[in-house]
Amino acid sequence: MTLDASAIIFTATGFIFAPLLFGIINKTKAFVGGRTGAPFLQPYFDLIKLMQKGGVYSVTTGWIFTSAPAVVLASVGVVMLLVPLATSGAVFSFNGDIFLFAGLLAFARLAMILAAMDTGSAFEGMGASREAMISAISEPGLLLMWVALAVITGQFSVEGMLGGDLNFAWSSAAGPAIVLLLVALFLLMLAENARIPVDDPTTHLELTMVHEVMILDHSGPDLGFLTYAAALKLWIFAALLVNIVLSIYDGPLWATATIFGVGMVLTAIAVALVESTMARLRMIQVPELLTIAVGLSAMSAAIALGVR
Amino acid sequence: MENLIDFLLVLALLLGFACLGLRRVSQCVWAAAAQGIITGILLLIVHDKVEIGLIIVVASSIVVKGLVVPWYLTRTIRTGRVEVEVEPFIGFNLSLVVGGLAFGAALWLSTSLTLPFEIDSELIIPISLATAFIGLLTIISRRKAITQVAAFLVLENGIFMFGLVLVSALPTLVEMGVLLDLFAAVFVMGVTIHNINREFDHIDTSRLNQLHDMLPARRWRMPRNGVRRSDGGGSDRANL
Repeated sequence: MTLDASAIIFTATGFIFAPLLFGIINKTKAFVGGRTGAPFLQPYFDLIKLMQKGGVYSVTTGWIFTSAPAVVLASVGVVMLLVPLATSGAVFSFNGDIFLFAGLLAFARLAMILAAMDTGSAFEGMGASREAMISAISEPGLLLMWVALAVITGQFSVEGMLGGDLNFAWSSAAGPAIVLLLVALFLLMLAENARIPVDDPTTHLELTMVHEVMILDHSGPDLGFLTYAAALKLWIFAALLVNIVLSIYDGPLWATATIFGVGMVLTAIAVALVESTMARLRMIQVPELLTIAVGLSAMSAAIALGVR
Repeated sequence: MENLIDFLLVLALLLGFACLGLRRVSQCVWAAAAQGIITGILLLIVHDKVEIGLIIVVASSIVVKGLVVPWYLTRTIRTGRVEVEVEPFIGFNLSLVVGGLAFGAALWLSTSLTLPFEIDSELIIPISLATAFIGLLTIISRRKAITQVAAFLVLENGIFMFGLVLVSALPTLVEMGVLLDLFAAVFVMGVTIHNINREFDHIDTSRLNQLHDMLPARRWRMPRNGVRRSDGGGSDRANL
């Protein structure tokens, strides 16, 4: 394991710029809706404001509730370290770290679900139950995506799968499999980050909420932690998406980094456009959307196996 | 070029799945039509040299499958006042899962099929088989006659794609004949749907078996707008 300077700089950039994705999404949604919208930096202002506040804790909650935000942020933060910039490598990486990737995200989700149930509120229990249902379908999709990438590239680490071997795969018969993966990953990104066809991130009304209801009782720095963790998670998924597209390009590092930045902005805009043009699906249709994502991942793996 | 063939094949497969998973009859028809256009383009790409006969086959298949048939079917939907929902016997999720299994089976089948000659893309056989399977699955799992016509198109596209393997061996005349059959079949189905519709107010194929002359003396009426959801094909007799 070698510590790569460019990888460290890239990950640090990710930690800094992650909330900006929310800013871009909100600004785009405002633009499409004909409003001015909050400034791009509003998520940062919100985070700073939240960090300066004190926490309020319900008397019915225990240590699970108080520790959850730190657990969530720490888990998602470690996953950040696994995500590379195209071929330049991640901060750390080992064979099979895809399971660390999936496991830490699942652990963060578990902590949030437990914290939501710890409040004893039926409202938050409902959100927790929905989150559990959605994740139960989306996680197999995520793992199948890694399986497909492993078949395509023959690598077993996040860094290796997104690295140079993927570049060769584009021009081989596995090209269509990668495109299927991209579509699946986009759907999974919307589901995992509680974006619109699955969940509405802008409202606290009872019918729509999954993620928002679970963080309802958190306040002050705790809420800040959870919001920041959500931003990091969006960054992680968008970075995977952009990295897979970017693997088609093989050039100098600075050019790759520039394209990566543009790609992240475009991904955020794509998410915002989906949110502006679609209504949230009925809760009963969400599993169908996720089944499509899982099916696309599975088909991608099958095609990759078929043409290998 | 081979990469383009692969992409088009996968797109055709996805359109087959779309036909299986979409909720509206008209969407299903257009998915099948788009698949028809793609198979036409595929035929053009797979051929090494372009001839008059090839151009005629490609153009006529694109026009028939991509324009005439969907236009005719949407017209039937409109004039026949067919309801927009597909009404599956098998739910959408389960259909998609079964379709996925069919694709897996097609992949497995294609590995055990050894061909005596090289083909342009390894995906042609599994995807054409899977498309045919999906078409059959859609035919048996949907209640409306018009969805079955669209599914028949998907099935035919699968067979057409399988023909891409034999591209050097298959004469133009045979392809034209297949296209004519398709054309005739769709029109016959369209007329039939129209007439069934005029007589019975609906085109629920699960109840066609009520048309036999079992009770000659008694007249019964089909329920108006009578699309009852609960019963499958087997329990119809109890509803008389």
